[in-house]
Amino acid sequence: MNRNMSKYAPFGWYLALIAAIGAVGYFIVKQTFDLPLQIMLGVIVLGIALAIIFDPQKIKDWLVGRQAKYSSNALVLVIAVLGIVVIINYIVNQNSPSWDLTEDNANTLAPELSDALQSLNQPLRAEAYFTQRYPSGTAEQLLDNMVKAGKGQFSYEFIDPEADPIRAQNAQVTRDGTIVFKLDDRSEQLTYVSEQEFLSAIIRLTNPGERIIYFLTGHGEYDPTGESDLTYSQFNQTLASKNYTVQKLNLISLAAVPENASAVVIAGPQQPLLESEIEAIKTYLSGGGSLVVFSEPYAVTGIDYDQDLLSSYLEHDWSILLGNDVIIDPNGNPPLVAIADSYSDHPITQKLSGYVTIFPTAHSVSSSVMPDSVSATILILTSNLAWGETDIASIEAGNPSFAEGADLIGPVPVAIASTNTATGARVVVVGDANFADDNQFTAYGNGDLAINIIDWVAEQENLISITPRAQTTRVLLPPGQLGLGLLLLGSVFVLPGLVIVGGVTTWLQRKRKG
Amino acid sequence: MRNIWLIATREFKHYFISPIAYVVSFVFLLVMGILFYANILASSVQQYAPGVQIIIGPMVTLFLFSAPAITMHTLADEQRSGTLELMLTAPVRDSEFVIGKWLGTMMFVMVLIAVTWVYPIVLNQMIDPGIDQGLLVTNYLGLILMVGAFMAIGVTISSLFSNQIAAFFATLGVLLVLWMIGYPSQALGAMGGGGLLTYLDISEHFYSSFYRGIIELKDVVYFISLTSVFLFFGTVSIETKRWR
Repeated sequence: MNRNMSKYAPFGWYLALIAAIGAVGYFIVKQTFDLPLQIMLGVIVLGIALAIIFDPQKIKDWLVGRQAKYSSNALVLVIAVLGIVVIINYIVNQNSPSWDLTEDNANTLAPELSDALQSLNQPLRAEAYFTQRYPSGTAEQLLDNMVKAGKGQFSYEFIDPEADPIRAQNAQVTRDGTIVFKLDDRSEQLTYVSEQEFLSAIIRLTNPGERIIYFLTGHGEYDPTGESDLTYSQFNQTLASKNYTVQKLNLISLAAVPENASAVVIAGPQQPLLESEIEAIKTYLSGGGSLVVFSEPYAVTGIDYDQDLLSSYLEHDWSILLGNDVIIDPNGNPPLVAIADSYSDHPITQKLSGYVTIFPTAHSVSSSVMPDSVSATILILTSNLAWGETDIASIEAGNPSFAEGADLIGPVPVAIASTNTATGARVVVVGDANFADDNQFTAYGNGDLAINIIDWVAEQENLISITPRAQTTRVLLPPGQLGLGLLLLGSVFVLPGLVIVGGVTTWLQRKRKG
Repeated sequence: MRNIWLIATREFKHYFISPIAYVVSFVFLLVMGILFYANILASSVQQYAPGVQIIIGPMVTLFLFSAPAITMHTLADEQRSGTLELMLTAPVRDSEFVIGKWLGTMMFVMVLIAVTWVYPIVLNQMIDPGIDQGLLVTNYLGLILMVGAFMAIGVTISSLFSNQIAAFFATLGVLLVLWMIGYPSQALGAMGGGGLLTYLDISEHFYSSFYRGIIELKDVVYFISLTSVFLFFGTVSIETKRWR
């Protein structure tokens, strides 16, 4: 090539460089290997070709010169060393042993959960829906440990429901901090982070069985499939996301509760149940079934619990008393809304700590003398200020007041769970039905309470109990005013000050030596 | 081996006759002292027992920013003053020279880390029944491994410059990139590069294991690999000066 042409060679390199920068930028933005990118790659090749054509001697010097020889040696060495390092890291990464040195083995999964993860024969995925505001440290740490134990079969990702609302909506997530476990086409939603909860969810997912919850109809009950505010559609959706099937049950036309029922829910009946219906429920429960009753006060439904057949059955067989009163809570706005934050240590309520539950127009639910085979637990209590008002006229007049002897003194029990140890049947009664309707379901702990009740009666709570582990409780011994002063002196002044003294001494010595 | 030791001790002594060591140590201990005092004060008010992470967390960040200052002079200064050519003619291998320099910086850093042991000792006295010793061991082990990698990166980058300021900023840039390289991994996940970027992320190998009280072999191997690779790059960099 003519020597004059060699001065054009740099333009070839510039062209290739500009095209390369463009190609990288384009790929970062578009992330597709489409026609414009292919053209840019073509321009790079063209630029290099032009540079070679215009100045072939320079290329020849690069390739066969002394520097080229040393450079190629160094390049080969670098590639070899990098290759060895990559291979070592790859091999170690495939099966890396780890040692948990913390005192309480805080990073080691419970053996039950670890076994469940290791026995997975298909991928299990967790989607953690956490906004930036919601603390995710505990969940992330537990999920990390599960990934390590899962041997490639378990993975997770964090999704910000505010940044990706469509995904959250598709997963039927209504609450910040929800974790959805997915196996095949089944999913399990959790709003409480603990090894026990995660283990139960995995067991439920890996052992899919039909879990049908029947909602009684025919007495003006809340409709789980309706769309107005006074329905249980959100409750229903959450149950569906936990693999429950919700169906309606009419015991007036059907003589018995279906055998496949995991539980029967009677949600806010406006009319009393018939004797034949009570008999059907009695037969179902004597066979070890489960019943949930969300009852509204007499003042709302007109059902007198002193005369009601269902109330009578619950009292005699389950030692559960439905009060003919309305809870008045001065903390509520209006006072007809009972607010509760006192929970018993029971699987239904032990995860509600830190949340209040609110019950608009509720009545008291207490326990009477228990038969030998029945064990009842009061689940929720209102504050001391609330009371069970029996004078309905005073409520209608807008001036209820506590009447000693007649009214039930606070704290008033709002919910009760009862178990028959002989048959294994379970019954839960809540003195309010609209705490779980679409208006109230997402309020505070209401949704969790409703779901926990269903989990418990359907016997889907702790399917395998995790052995509790010992935890060292550490307490800070407050240093006191003098201690804090010494700490300030030592850490902020003395230690850095010693460095200054050392520096100045060295400087002076060097200066003296000249 | 003897050559490495000689170069390392010479480098170590050099720190204590130059102002850099005193400035870095002073700022390091001052910031650590303020944060330690503030954390203890906050814990006393909020009535909770702090873990060893209140010491290690700030220390990691401080080393991220002070490592370039500690290493910037190592080889850049030799090039500026012309002593590098002298060293190249001495009967010392390039690798011995680079490893010796790195070891010297590590000896200085170990002195600094040893001084910080005063904080866990004080914390241990303030907590009943004492701090989690296992957590303390893993945190310090991880810190030493990570700082070893920082120093190797700093020494290698210092070999590319004759200007210390340029070496400082180049080292800081590389460290910050390696510190945050895992961030875009989610976006790149679909293209298959996410896993690689996460693996290259220095912070990922510290916070997910050592910081939580776990020793993972893959993280130990990662830090040793990173240190070895950069010391090797440093050796190649010195070697190229012979024939460039």
